[in-house]
Amino acid sequence: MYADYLLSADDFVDFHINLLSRTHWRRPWQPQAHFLLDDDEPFEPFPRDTALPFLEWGLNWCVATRAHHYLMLHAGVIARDDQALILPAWPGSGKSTLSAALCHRGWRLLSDEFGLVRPKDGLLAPFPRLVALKNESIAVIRAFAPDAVLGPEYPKTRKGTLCHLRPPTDSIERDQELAQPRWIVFPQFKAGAAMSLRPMPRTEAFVTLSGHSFNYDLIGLRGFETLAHLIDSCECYRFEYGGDLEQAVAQLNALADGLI
Amino acid sequence: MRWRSSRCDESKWYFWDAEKYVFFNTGSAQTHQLSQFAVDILTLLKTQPLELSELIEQLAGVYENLEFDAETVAYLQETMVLLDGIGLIEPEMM
Repeated sequence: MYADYLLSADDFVDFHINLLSRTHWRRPWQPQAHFLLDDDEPFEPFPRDTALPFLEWGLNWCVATRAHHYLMLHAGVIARDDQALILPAWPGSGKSTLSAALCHRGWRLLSDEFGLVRPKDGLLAPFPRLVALKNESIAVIRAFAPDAVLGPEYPKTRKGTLCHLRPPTDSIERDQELAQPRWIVFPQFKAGAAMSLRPMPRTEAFVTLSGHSFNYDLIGLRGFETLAHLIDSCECYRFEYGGDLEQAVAQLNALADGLI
Repeated sequence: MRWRSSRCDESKWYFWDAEKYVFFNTGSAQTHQLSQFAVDILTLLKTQPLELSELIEQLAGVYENLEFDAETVAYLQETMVLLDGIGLIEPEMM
């Protein structure tokens, strides 16, 4: 799953993580995975056969709790010609599915989970990690992008069945290229619903987006000004779609093409 | 009793849509959504502390077509209670 990721040549890294396999003498039939961050163990161990989702979840936790030099949005971010589309959403709204679909139709994946906005210039920092697909989305993406690289399926996690998608190689190789925010689209998947893309008043977008931030309340005035600048520089929309992923991708392409 | 704005010099606001402001209160680090009317009250109280009757007089100059009857004054008082509650205005200490 990590074949396209380069090992860092620098001595400095942000997080020192060890994933250790241990078996408790009272439960030798249940080997467990322990997540160590700088020798601390912030979580209870997980069953070893879910080590990959555990590692990915732990990496998200590290970033969400430490990377406060960014305004962090809970959002998928993809870019075309370095113009970025931000998809902020609650779990289950379809942001990972849309992010995965768009990055297999010519867009560059910055992240399916973190919109990292740099306060000094408002640019978005890429963080192209594995995309966590859940439940029905797994089959949807397999059908939509047969060449996509998917890992094993993990049934019965807290979020149902989980399967990771490796971002396209180009997205990983361009992980140092920042993007200019251009569109903020709040997606909402509703099975069977007719597709609609409606402009959203900026004040409403500001208030809604502040609720999708991991650290807006924590970074104070810097967060307010960064978010206001972001809203200033973007067109804002609500996007409801019902299941036809090709149609949804076509609609977002039309937005990026200036046809809407 | 006179009212004055608190910390408005340090606070920031943006507006994109008619009649709605987003306002960052540096005193509490909270963000609020305010109406045009609330922002006008803050702006007047930032200039100088005012009694309620003086505030009504000055608002009447801003809203020339609005009659300050009992209903409007009640709305003004409700708005001031809200602004006081979130720490954007305060009674002036004698």
